[in-house]
Formats: sequence, C-alpha cells, structure tokens
Amino acid sequence: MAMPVVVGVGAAASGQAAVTAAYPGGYTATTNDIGIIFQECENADTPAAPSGWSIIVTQALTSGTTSKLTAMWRRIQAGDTAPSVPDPGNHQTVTMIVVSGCITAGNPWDVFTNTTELVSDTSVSVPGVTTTVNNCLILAAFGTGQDVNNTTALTWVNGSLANLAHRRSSWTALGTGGGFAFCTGEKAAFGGTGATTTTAAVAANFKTLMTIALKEEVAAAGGPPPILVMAPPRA
Amino acid sequence: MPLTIDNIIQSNTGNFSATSGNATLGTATEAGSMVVLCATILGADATFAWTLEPPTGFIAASGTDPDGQTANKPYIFVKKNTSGESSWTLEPRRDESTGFARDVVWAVFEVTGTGTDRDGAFIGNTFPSNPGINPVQWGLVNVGNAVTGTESAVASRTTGSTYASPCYDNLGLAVWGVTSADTTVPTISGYTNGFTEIAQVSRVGASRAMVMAVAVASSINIGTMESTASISPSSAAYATCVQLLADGARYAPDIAVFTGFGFGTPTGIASGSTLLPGTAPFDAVTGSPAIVTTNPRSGAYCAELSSTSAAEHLTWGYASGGVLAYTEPTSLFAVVARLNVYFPSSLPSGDVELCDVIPSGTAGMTLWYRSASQKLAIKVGTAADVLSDATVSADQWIGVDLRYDPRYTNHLVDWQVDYNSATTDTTGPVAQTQAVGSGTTRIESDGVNPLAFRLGWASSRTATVRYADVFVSKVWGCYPIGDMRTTLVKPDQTGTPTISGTAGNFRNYTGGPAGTLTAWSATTTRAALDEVPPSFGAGVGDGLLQTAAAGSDYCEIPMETFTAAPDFVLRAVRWYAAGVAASTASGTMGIRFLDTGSTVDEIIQGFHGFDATNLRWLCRMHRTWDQFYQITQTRMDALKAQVGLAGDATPDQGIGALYAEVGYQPAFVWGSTEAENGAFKVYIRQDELSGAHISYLVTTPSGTRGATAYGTIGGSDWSHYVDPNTTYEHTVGADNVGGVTAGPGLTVDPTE
Repeated sequence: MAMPVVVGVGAAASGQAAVTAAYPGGYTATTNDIGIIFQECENADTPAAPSGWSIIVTQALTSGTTSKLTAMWRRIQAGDTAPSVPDPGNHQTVTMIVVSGCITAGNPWDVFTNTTELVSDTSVSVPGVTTTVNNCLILAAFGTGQDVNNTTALTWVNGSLANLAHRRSSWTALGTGGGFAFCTGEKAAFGGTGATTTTAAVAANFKTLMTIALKEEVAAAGGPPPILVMAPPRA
Repeated sequence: MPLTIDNIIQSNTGNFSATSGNATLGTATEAGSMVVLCATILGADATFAWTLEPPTGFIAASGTDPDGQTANKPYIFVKKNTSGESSWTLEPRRDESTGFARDVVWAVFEVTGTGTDRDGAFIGNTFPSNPGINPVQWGLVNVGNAVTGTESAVASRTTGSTYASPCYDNLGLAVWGVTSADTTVPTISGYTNGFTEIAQVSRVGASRAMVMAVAVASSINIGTMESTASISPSSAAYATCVQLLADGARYAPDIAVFTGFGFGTPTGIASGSTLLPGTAPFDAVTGSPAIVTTNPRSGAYCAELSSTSAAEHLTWGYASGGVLAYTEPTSLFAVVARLNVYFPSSLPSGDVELCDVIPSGTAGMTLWYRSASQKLAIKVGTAADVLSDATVSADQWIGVDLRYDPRYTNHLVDWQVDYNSATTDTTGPVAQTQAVGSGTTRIESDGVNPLAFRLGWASSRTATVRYADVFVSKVWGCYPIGDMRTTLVKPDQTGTPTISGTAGNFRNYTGGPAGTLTAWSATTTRAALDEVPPSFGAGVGDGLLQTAAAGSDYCEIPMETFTAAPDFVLRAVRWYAAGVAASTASGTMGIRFLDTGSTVDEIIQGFHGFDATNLRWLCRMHRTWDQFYQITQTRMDALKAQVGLAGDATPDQGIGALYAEVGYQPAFVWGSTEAENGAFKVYIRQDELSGAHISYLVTTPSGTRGATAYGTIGGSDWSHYVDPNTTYEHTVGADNVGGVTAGPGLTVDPTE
C-alpha cells in the first residue's frame, strides 16, 4: 500500500489554561485522518486528552529541570473541530500533526517507545523502534523543561529514515516553562529505525524522548507475521 | 529549579584604561535580579599592586586575589536584589589608592532566579567570612576558591575547585584573566566539565594584551565545581570560580543530630564523655523520661515523657559543649527540626510545651499543645499563638516540621503538621501559617545564638507525650526535613572484627568490665556488643576491653548494614558506644568511626570518665563537622568502628555495646510513563531531594501485550521484558542523579 502522509502541522499554542491545538492551516477535518497532539507540561501536571482523544503515552522527567511530554491521538471525523486540550496544571504547549493514510481501525501505531536522557547537554538522541510492518511514518520527539520561548527549527539525522523533516519546535516561558520539538521520517521496510538525533536549540538539559511509528492502512503483503519477527528483547 | 544559562537574561562587555570606568547593561535590571560583574585588571608591572575593589553594593564573591605587584587579577563581584540598575563604576587601585589609570576589562551579567531565601535583610551585602560553610545559612552564593594563577606562561589554567555547594541547584561561573607578554591577544577556549563560554573580552595595551573569559555550567549535584581552559599561545593566567545557588534550591539533608531512641534505655541518656561534652544521647535531662517499646513510630523504641505537676524534658545544646555545637555553622543559624509526638490514650488535660528553642538573652519559640482548642500552636516570643489549622488526636503519631529563624528582629517560624505521621499513612503534611515573633531580638553575633533545642516541658505540667524520630538541622534550606525514620544497626554477626596491633592487648569480658576476662575473639566480640539496651551494673554485662597500653592498637568492628533501596533513601547515621572501664581510675582510650575510607569522625583518645557500673555513652554523628556528609549505600555497607587506642595499661577500658542509628526517608514516587491511557505504567521511586533514582515499578495490563523496560544505570544498559498482567520492580539504588543517564524507558509490544 502506501506510506502515511503528513497532511500538515498546526501552529503551536501555549498557555496556563486550556489551549486549542490548532489544525494545520487550511485543513478541513477528514474522516480517518489521524491527529497526533504533542504536549509538554510540568512533571507534576496531569495531562488529559480532549474529548474524543486518547493518550498514547506520557513520559515524565522527574529530576533536573522537570517536564512531561505527552502524545495524544484521534481518528478524525469529518466535521471535527480543533480540540481544546485541558489545562494540565502549571503550563502547556501543544502542537497537532495530521496524518492521512493510516490504518482506519484500531490503534494507528505499530509500535512506540519513550524514555528520558538524564545527561545535561544539547545533544539529543531519540531511541528508535523496530517496526513490524512496512510503510511506517516515524514521529520522533524530545522535550525539556527549559523555561524559555524558542521556536528554532532543528536539523535531524537518521540514516534509516527517508524524507526526514523537522515539524515543529515550541518552548514556552509560561509557568515553569518547557517545550518540545519533533520530526517525521519514513520507514518503508519493516525493521529497526535506529536513533534519530539532533541538537537542541535550547540550553543543555535533561530530556524526554519519544518515537511513534504510525502504520499504513493495510500491512504490506509479504511481510512476515509480526509475532514472529517482533519478539521483544527479554532481559 | 536549577539555574541555567537561560537565567542570564542580559549581558555586556567592555574595557577601559582610566582612573575609573563604568560597566553597563543595556536595560535596567529587573527587581530581584542578581548582577554578576566580572573584571580583570592588568597588573604585573612589578612596581605597584593593582587591584579592583567591589563597586558600591557589591561583594567580592571570588575570594582572595593574589598579592603582590606581578599578578593580573580577575574578580567576580556580586550584587543581589538589584532593581532598575544599569551602570556600575569600577575604580582601579594602585597600592590601595584610587586616582590611577589602569587597563581593565569587564563583563556584566543580569541573573534571575538566584537564591534570595534569606537575603541581606540585616547583613546587607556582606558575605560571611567562612565562605565554604556560611552560604548554607544564607542560601545565597557559595563563594568560590581564591583566585589562583601565575605570571609564568601556561597553556591551560584551572579555576581550582570551589567549596562544596550544599545545594542541588547551582550555576558555576568561572572567570579566566589572561595576559600576554606582547600585544597579541591570547585566546581562551576548551572549557572542561561542561562549562560554556558566555563572554570573552580583550584589551590591547601599550605593551601587553589582556583577555578575560567567563563560562558557566549548571549543576544539580551537591559538591564542588571546577573548570580548566586552554590558553593559546601560552600566557600568564589567573582564574577563579563561584557557584550561584538557585532560589528555593534543594539542600542536602544536613542533619546535625537525630535520634529514634533506638539505644533503648533512659539510663545514662545525658551521660557522655567527661572529656568531650556533647557525646551523650542528650546534653541534659530533667525528670525521668522512659524509653518504651509501646507504639514506636519506626524502629523499636520511642521516648515517653510523663509527669504530674512537674517538669520533664530532654535537651540538645547549641552552646559550647552541646551536641549541636559540634557541627557548623556555630553562629547565625536557623533551627530546623522534625519531631513526631504521640498522646497515648487521651489528649493532655492542660496546655503543654512539646518542644522549644531556648534563646539567649531574648525570647525564643515554643511548640505547644493547647487544650482549649485541642490544637498545636507556635508561640514566638510574646506574640500570640499561631494555632494549627486542625485539631490533633490522641493515639496517633503527629509529625511537626519547623524552622525557627532568629535572624530577624521578629523571629520567624515556618511550620507544617502531618496529623497522622504513622509510617503506614500516606497523607502528607499541611503547611501552617508562619508565626511571626514579638518581643524578640535578632541574633547578630555568636553571643545571642539559640542555646538549646528541648523536647518536653520546663514548667510544671501534667502530661504524657511520646517522642520519636527527632531530627535537627542548622541549615535554613533543609526545611522541611519531612518524614524521617530510624532504625538501629549493631555489630555484624556475620562480619569479622579484627585487631590492628596485638590481639593479646584486648580481652572480652563477662560479668562486667571488672569481671571475668577471656582471650579476645572476633566471635565473642561481635556477640558481646549487640544487646539492646546495654547490660550495665555491678557485675553485669559483656563486652570488649583493651587491657594493655598500645596507643595505636584497636579492634575494628564491622556493623550491620541497612539496605535502603528500593523503598528508602539514607539520610544520616549516629553512633552510640557504651563506654566501660574496670575501675574509675584515669586511663585513655578512643574510638574512630569509618566507612569506606579514612576516619569520618572520632572520639579522641583520652580519659572519658568510664567505670564498671555506670552507663556512659560516646555518641557522634557519622559526618564531618563542617559540611554535609552523604550516607551512600556503599558507605552504609562499610560502616565500622575502631575501638581501643588506649595509652594506659590500667584500667582496662572498652565498650559494652555499639550501635549505629540510621536515619532514612521513604523514596518519593513519581509516575514516569503512562501508555495507552494508563494501561502500561512505569513509576519511579526517587530521592526527592537529589533526584537519584531508587527503583522502577513497571505494570502491564492483562491481555497479550507486554512491554520492555530499559535504561542506563551506572553506564550499563539494562532491559527487562515484562509479561502481560505483571508488576515488575527494578532496583536502582543510585546515590545521586548522575547514577542514571537514561530511562526508565518503555517499549510496548506492537499493536495487534
């Protein structure tokens, strides 16, 4: 079939209350498109998904300059409007990316991973995943709790991904401050994506890290049964 | 919140060669900002000593500068709590006199978020004379090392290490001043230890060129900071470094004294070495407190103070000779404490003092139980009570944190109450209204510091109150101490005591130290020292004696350990050794307390007043006197004492019991990961202060999908697959935040 396609990325929004995660400019809600909202907030905050949305994963940074990075999703329906992301507590900054061509039933992701890097520097290495199906759109994100306004575009590196593209940086100085940046890349053949690296444009700090692999509408023919190739590593 | 480079919100650099010059910022400073002014003056003329004095309102944070006529001197001047300022004047001095032009380079920074916990309300901008210790009490700036360097050309220059910061949220700021022998401007680069350059400014003079570089690095660890820079070409170079502390910085839990009453007996509770005051469990006792096993909060014992129309109390003294006098700071300190009280059966029928800080020459503070309201109350001086926000209950442990700050004319008490501080209760404390004193006098010198911390009541009262897990710090930033618990470790019954020196110089005894002596053995020694409470009295008890003069011989006794992870964090250790002698004759002995390295503290060799029938304690905190000493698990595991060092053949002297009481806290639990709407979860237990990871808990839902948890601990990668519907715990036990460099991560099985 075909690689999921990035329809667009909405403007970042920040606030100390509920904020609207904007659709990409000019976008009209289209049934079966997948919306992914990245949200950065304070570690002690409680993220909540907008009505009709679900949290894929929340990764907290509980030491150093604390922070929390959350990814939420919804299978968009025609007529949907840009959602209001509830106030998590201290502050939040959010951005929505809309992707078309994803599987139309069940979870739209094949696999995801999340962790933290507890080294205070500006080098970022988002751990990869091992996809089990062909044609996955990879979203790689990192966040920090840096209390600064910053939207600098980043250069990302991952030799295993095609069409690697920076999508958004959004740091806010509201509240205790923080933000995230993310990119997308394409993994045509199932397998390991390797790490996605970049250099943060904000001060050296600990980081939250997250990679999500969105899968195409139908798994590619000829791919081996996932259960056989994706036995996870066992300690 | 750590300080970072982002806290430097504006900066500027410049230079001049004049009798004075202004360092300026483009915009007036915000209220509360700190201004850091770095400057280097050209010296090295071998004729005059050229110096810079702090501009008006600044202090020299960089410590002493090199003397003499040959040194080029970099300075770090600091002014805190500025507002609306943008220009400051620097005046070169020649042999301490102004009016002489000289080459100066400067860089100025406005820094937000620096420590203003207790600013210069009465100390102005004067910093303490002992910069390594006193910043703890001011919570402002950890003044760094002296400026060091040489006129000899060098290719690199270290700043030297700062004093250890007592805080976890620091910004190291380093300055290098480099001067060439000609008009070629040297370059400074390659800063080590994570320092990032934030300014480099130079000036070419008539015959020499000078350059100054400023670099910063964040740190979320206690301890020293240092950086080394490369210099090209090799040139004369001087450098220094300071640490700025963040506002509200997390402080290391610097405990000056504590007890859980784990020694198990009121006998000798205020009886210590006659040579070394402050070595008893308490410095003074009035009445007849009991040490009971009824409803201990943690450990096996608690204290019960009970009287009918009488005073009853236990006291730790701050004044010379007191337990609390042993650790720095010894003047101008706050009193930070945590205690737990329990009213058995019923609340007292009348008012009763639960603890107080005895002042010197002025009114102090008292924690009361007030019967009319059935609430706790803080009374400072002659001010009215500040009552707790809720009533207290009998038959329940109640935790109280307090911080008494007598460094203001109206003394202040911050406090919080945990209305149920049982170790099984998870309800947190409730912050209370700050109590502001009246009729109090600020402490300004050694002479009027608090005299004592007292548990109980000095007035005639009828009450029964139990006490447990009492911790005291002299560090303002250590408030609140929080949920501290205690346990007792004894000589390790699987370890092997050893003799350094001649084994024949030591004996074991039964029937008291004047009783039957047997040849020393490791097995007998460790078994003889572990009964709690100690057996003492005429012809009673067993133990260890040194029976021959050998001033360097000792018996080393390894102690049991207490493994904190995965649930707890180690905070402090206090030693209790029950001293004995075969007679009251004068003779010397000593005890050293150690862990992984050399002696941490010791009871010096001397005559401590022991005899054969009376219990006399030798107690010490397992720490150094002048700075925070972290009890890591490695140190805990290596805890040992060396007993002996007797310089006399008679009397036989030794110990009848040896304990180490351990203070620890529950690890704080954070949610780390929630995946798929919380179906998969990872929790972190971590040290709330240091951020060190203690353990991870991973839970997976029922079904067919598990998850792989992973991370990097101590430089080694780990991973573990967690089956569906499983809870898995991974113990980390890190001592500091640097122990884990990645994780915990989670990869959930692919979507089906």
